[in-house]
Amino acid sequence: MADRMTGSQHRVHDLLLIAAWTAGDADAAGSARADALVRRCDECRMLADDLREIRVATSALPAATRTRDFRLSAEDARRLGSRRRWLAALVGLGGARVARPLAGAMTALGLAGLLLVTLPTGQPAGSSRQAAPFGAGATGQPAASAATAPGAGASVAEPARASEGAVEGEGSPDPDQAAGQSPALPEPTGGHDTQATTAPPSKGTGEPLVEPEPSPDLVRPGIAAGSMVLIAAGLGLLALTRRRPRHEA
Amino acid sequence: MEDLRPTAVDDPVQRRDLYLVDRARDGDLDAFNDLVLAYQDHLFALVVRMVPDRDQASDAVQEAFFSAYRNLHSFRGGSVRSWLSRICVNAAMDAQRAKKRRPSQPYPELEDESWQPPAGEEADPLRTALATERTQAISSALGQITDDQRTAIVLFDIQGYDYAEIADMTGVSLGTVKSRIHRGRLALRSLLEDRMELFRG
Repeated sequence: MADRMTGSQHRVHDLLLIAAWTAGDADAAGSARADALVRRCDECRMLADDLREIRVATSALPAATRTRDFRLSAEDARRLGSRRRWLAALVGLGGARVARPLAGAMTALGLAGLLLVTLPTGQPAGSSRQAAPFGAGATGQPAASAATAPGAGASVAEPARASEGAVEGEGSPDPDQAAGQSPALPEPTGGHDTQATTAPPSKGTGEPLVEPEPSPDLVRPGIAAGSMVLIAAGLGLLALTRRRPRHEA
Repeated sequence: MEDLRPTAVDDPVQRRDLYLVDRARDGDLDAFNDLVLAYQDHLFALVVRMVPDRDQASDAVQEAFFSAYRNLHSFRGGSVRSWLSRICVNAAMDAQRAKKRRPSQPYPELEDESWQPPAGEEADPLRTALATERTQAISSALGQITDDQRTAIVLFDIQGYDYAEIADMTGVSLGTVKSRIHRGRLALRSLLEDRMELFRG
């Protein structure tokens, strides 16, 4: 034992490693290091021994005697139970037969709502903007603007419109655009100009082309948000009603 | 659809517990109180080591049983003992936080007979005295380490839970549990350094 370490060297030794090693939690490399430390450093060896003794002493601590009976009285149960019943009634735990279908219906309705706002509207007489998906209504704004800008090359708008025309049976360009409406006008999306396309006789007569109606830009996010809430509520209710497994006696 | 219904439960104690939980959920207070009777000693012994004030520990255990009764519907199967222990650990941690706001002398009742190891009629007085002194020393040192370290050591060394169960109960990682236990033991050793002769041999 010519290479025994001194007390000053012990100060830099990894005591946490010794503690982990003593508990059997050191990995292979750590074990090898700890083993070397314990063999060569008296203080590390003493520390390891002491930690073992402390563990034994801690495990042998007597259990304290309880001084109170913790059973619930009928009054406690009534007080606590009333809260429980209120909660159960709220989430339908007392009637999973109702709550689960309700949760399923809410989730399905929410999904349907999301589907509604993410899919094209599918209006039979829709314009190019109606045919665009909801997301494209916002992101496709520059293309729509380009198509409606005065002097804008028809070729910019033509490909999309031509393809829609093939679907919808409309070969002619949108009269609004043909008339070169001001590009400063807000560009509606979705079904905004449904009426314009379904009521061609009014065009060019000086009458208002479009009746005021809620902007789809406001309606669709609302539907989307509502759908998300429905899905979240449905899934939450489903989760709550599934929290009560019955156990075999 | 996931079936939360436990499969065959071989452990008769666990089977009994699950049966009592089911009855308690149906409003049978006696069934719930049977669970209380089965576990109140164990849970009090657990909490009183974490919250070294017996009144606060008692309050924490009582609150834990109230909470368990209120939340019977949230029990998802498995070990009722672990579920109740988890609730008690949470209650004890709440009490620890409350105690920090109103600090008091740790382990003020160390002289209380109920803390002392039971002595048989033929017990050697010297050994009994030594055991008493060890208990007092280690209890006092336990009261001085951090709450997290004490909780981990109590759960592991005294209550016999494994690392994974402790991690689950205290909401920390396995590595953190180990680290708390190792650091806690090092802290205990540091606190007991001058009295280690009590424990050696």
